[in-house]
Amino acid sequence: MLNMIKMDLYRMFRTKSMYIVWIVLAVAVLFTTFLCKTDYDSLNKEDAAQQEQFTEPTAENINVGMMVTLPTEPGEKVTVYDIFYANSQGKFYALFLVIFAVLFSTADIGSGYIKNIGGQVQKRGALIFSRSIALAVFMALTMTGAFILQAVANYIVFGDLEWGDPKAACSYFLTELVLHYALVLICMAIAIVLKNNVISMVISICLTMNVMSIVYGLVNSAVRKMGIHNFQMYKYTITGKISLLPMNPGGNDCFLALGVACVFIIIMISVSSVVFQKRDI
Amino acid sequence: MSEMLLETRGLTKQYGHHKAVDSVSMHIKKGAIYGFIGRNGAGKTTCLKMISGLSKPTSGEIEIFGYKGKDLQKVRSRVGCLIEAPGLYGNMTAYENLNIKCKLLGIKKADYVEEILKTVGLEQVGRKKTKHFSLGMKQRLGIGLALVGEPDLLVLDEPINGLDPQGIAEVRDTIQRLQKERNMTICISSHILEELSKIATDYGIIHNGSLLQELTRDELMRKCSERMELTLDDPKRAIPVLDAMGFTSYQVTDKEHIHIFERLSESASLNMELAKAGIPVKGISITSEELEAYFLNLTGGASHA
Repeated sequence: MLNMIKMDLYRMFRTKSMYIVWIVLAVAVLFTTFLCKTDYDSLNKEDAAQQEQFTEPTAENINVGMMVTLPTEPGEKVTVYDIFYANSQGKFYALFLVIFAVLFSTADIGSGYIKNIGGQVQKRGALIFSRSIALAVFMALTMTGAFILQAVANYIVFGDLEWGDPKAACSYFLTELVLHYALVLICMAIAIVLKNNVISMVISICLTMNVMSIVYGLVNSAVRKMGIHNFQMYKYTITGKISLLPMNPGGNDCFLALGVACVFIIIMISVSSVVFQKRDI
Repeated sequence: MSEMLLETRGLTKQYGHHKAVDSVSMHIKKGAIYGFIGRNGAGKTTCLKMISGLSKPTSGEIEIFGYKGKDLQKVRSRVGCLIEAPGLYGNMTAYENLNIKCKLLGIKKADYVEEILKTVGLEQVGRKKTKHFSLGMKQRLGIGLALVGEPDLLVLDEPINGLDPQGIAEVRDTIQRLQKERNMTICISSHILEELSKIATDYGIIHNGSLLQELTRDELMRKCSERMELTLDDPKRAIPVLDAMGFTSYQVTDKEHIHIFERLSESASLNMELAKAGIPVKGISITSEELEAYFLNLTGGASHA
């Protein structure tokens, strides 16, 4: 297993698409920070009040598509955590992560390289576990890098550096990291099952952009007809948890989010592993 | 009897109602170069995928190095394969492509990748991205990848497909060298009989998913050599006559035919001796067959090619 992980890490760090994703993400982080400053400067107090309503997302108010809204109130300094939170709950990072997850997960299938190794490993399904570990490393590096880069961008754009509440930032960062990882594994599972890069990529991006909210709405209606009121499926999904995690998450918020993430992580690794093991190459 | 390295028993692969491989029982001796011959779509690749562990049989059994069933997984790492086109990461170098597999197999030996590159004649282009490789170079790198981990059985599926004559010669030399220097057992499939006949020591002929025949190089050459064909009602009755006349190189091929491979000019005297013994001869002729014609006759003629 350790050899498989070494192999997948070696492969990942020699994958061109990883560096392309990082470069585009870095440019996008700088660009969005500039946009944030423009928005922040032009906001008056009345606008800010309206904005405040949007920065507190709820299960009833799901936005389809990407929406990055700065939670900073006028008069306050924009912190690194403010923009990280806005980008994270707006699925800005998730978009880049799922794109790489799909590319990386199917690279050996698409290139045919799997034929060189698929027969020689004792349990082919274990290859899924090793690429999950590689994706976890990628995730951690990307999210940490994005946070550090955000600090640099803040310093360049706003002229000073405010980190924000360290305790809240830390618990939010770690919880979002696990939630984003679960989303990445969902996309990996889609790519492994479908074996088609284009379709997997489209589905993954649609999933990230909350297109599934249409389906969630139908499920909610069906459940309500059964007599269970106040049911919101979005609350129990990974994309929902990513968006709904508050800026100052309490222990219960983090616990619930991590619980949902763990369930998805276990299911996705198991499904991908079984499919990969059973299916002919 | 030579030690069998690989045996399959009733190996079958079914997709829906179509049997791509139908009850194939093949035998590969240790140290042999087994030429697996069949037309396009005959079932060669499917069969080799099952042997290589890339595909699961619908039914039947594979035994490699004496291991079968669930125990087969223990020796899977001793089977290297190149199935269909070589699977390579185009944006990585030949060195990196080989090194990925070295990591998987836990090979840490210094210069190991360089040795493999040298074995397949790619030492000069090891740092070149494989997307810039010619087809021949890709095929050789594919063989190189199959060699990582020092496998005892090498499964090569159509390794000369699409190569120019020089590329074919290079791949052929590599295969022969591997067999001689490392005593490696090699199973190589192709639909180009002429090329296989230059290197293979044993043959298996597959058609429409069924293994029609397995034979050694000598047996194949004998079948294709010039011979006297006797057609009789009961070939067994003719055997004492042949023995009495001193014929030693002959073979009863079926219920009506005897093939004699020597003294082809003595057909008239043989005919007389058989008549004297009261054995009616329906026909006597001198024939020979090209390798390709033999294969085509066996698989139903050129019209199906």
